[in-house]
Amino acid sequence: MSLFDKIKGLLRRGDGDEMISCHDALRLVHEYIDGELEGVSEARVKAHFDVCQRCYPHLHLENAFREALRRGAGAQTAPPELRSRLVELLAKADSGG
Amino acid sequence: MSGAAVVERGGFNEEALPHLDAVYRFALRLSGAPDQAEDLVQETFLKAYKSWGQYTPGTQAKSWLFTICRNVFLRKRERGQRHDQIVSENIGRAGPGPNPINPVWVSALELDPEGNFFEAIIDDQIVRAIDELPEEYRTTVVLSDLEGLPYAEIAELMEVPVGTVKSRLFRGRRQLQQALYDYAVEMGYVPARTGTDESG
Repeated sequence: MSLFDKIKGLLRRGDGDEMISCHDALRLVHEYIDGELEGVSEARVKAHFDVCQRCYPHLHLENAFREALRRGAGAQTAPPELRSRLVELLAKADSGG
Repeated sequence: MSGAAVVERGGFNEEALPHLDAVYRFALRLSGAPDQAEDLVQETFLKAYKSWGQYTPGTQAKSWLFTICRNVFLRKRERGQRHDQIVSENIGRAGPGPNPINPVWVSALELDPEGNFFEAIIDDQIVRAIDELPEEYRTTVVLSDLEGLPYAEIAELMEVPVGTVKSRLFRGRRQLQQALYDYAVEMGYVPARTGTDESG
């Protein structure tokens, strides 16, 4: 019996608590990261990734990918001149212009 | 200026204007060009301002602004400013299909299991890769991964079922991951295969 199976056995406390499969863990990885799981608890998915050496690296790479996106394109701000132009336009709209 | 207008303006400043940066980022990714993004933002905020009376205070102002922004963009695009490839997908399909193993990660795990190549990719390349996605995927990925909107809000904003949002996220992310990984390989950010383990 592999270490994973032993841990899986230890974690099995009933039908509802049985560890999810690798297939399901990878199928749910996006919803898990996005906090959008339905029909399965976050704790059950986390329990799988915490102990599965095969699946955890996939979760790690998904997180690294999201981090790269945020770093590359998530921090841009509107130019200051756009902000001031907008305030002027709104003031003009107020006065019916 | 009427007293009512002043009251409405106050609410607008507090609820809508704080989202200017987010709307600008969204407009930038939709249009792909800073000058077009600025025009989109101006039109979005002016439209929002003029119909501020229809907005329910305390609800999702950010999503509402994104909705207006996208509608303005799509209307402009229909006039021929930008033409994306048609996205072929099964509307309402929920889930990635029978095999959830990501082939990009399978390749990456062989050569760079920590995913260090992501850190070497410059911001401009990440932006370029996002901009090359078809509009439906690009919008969904930007709203989820950059702006943190929940699936239900994205679905409402794009007028599609939540299952379609999931499907577009899945496919859009896979395309992006493949593009970024290919770029990293080309640039030598991913260690080359040594060929020593060919015998298995």
